[in-house]
Amino acid sequence: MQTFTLELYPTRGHIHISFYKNVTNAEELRKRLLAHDQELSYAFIDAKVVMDRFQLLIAANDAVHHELHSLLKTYNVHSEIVYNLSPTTNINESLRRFGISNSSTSIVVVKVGGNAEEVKSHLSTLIHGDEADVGEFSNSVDISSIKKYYKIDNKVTDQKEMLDIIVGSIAIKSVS
Amino acid sequence: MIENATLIKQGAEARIHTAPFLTRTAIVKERFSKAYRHPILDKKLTARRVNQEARCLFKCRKSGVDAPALYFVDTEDSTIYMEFVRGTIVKDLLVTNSEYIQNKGKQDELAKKIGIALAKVHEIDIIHGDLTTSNLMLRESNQSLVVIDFGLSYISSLPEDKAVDLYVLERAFLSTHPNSEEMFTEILDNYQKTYNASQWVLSKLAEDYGDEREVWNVQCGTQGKVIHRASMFKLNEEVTLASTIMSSSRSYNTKVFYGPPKCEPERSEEIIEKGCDMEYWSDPVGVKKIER
Repeated sequence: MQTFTLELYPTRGHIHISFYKNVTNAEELRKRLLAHDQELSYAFIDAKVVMDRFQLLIAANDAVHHELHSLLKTYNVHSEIVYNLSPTTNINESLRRFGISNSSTSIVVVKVGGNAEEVKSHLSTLIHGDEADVGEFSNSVDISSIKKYYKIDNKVTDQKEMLDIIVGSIAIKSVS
Repeated sequence: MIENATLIKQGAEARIHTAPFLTRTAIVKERFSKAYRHPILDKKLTARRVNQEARCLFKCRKSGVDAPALYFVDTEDSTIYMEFVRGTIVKDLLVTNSEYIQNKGKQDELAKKIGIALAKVHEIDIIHGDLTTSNLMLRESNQSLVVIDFGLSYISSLPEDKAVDLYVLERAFLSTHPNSEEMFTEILDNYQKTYNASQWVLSKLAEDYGDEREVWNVQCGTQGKVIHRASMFKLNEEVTLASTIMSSSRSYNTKVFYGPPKCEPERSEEIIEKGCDMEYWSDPVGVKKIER
């Protein structure tokens, strides 16, 4: 797990990012999320569509910004992170594409606020899988999904350029 | 405002800072409000410009033009966060770097990059609006040409607007750099090779924008008091926006003036009345009017 601070909103709490591989209970987690289970105040993201932690931080920063200005489009700050990752404004589609699905086995979790140790231990009881190093999730990325969802031209092959376009798409979304 | 920000530049429209941002370094461009503008107009104009700048910047980046990556847009604080590009401003290169001053090969190489980048920008119908050598950079890591500062950018497919961009760049070159004519020719040459529809732009550049281009001042106010002022190359939506707001406020005797440089609202006897509650400046060359 890695912990970050949002420079713009230092008082909102830290941003914790964890990565789990070989997850077996994605279906259960998804059901509980759909039932608005309060215990699951985390953003569960399919690792396939995460290229870099910077992408997650940008989405989290946007979500916290929206929360503080009462601009949330979704249920809470965590679902907003998942929604923000998507470049479209269709909430259902965004959550389906970027959130976990029943068949997800690699999951990235983002948490706003809370104590790092508590978050870590709570997550290990929630998720049945192996926690892995956050740097590793770039191994499970699915470039073709990323290109499709972010509408990136096939000519673009450079990972840095791709990431630039991804974070730009997330940032431009809040511009009406 | 973000913590640990360092002011690096203060312009007429915005302040530029650098600051640590989510594990990286960002350029923070904050537009501030103008005291002489009507508060409502100021808010609308600033919000619109922030949005427009962010959109043009992102559109360029997405289409393969090297421009700073967009990180975050804070509409509430009129601030844009973007990638901090390490590199050198083209103007500094041409003025201080002896390699670029003396070596024609180096100059041609740079001109080629500029021409191609410009062609790509115009291909997606973005008009940069302030194309000078201060707004072009060479990236330190891969020597790619980076277009910066989209603060005056807008979307237009008109060859006239694109020609203005080229004209502004030509002026910037002629005024500051040695061998500038050759370099600008090289830029146009590469622009032409890369951009399919360049012939329309180049013919406009040749016919319309010789030395006749003027900067217009737009002012609007109530009863002789100026509350909004701006300079621009042509009458654009700002005038329309200002006049809409002025007329919707229903205040009697609201005026929108516009005219060439050094126009003063006090020269009211020269104002030609055209509408019920708005009056216009005329240009000494010919009257231009806003359709309402």
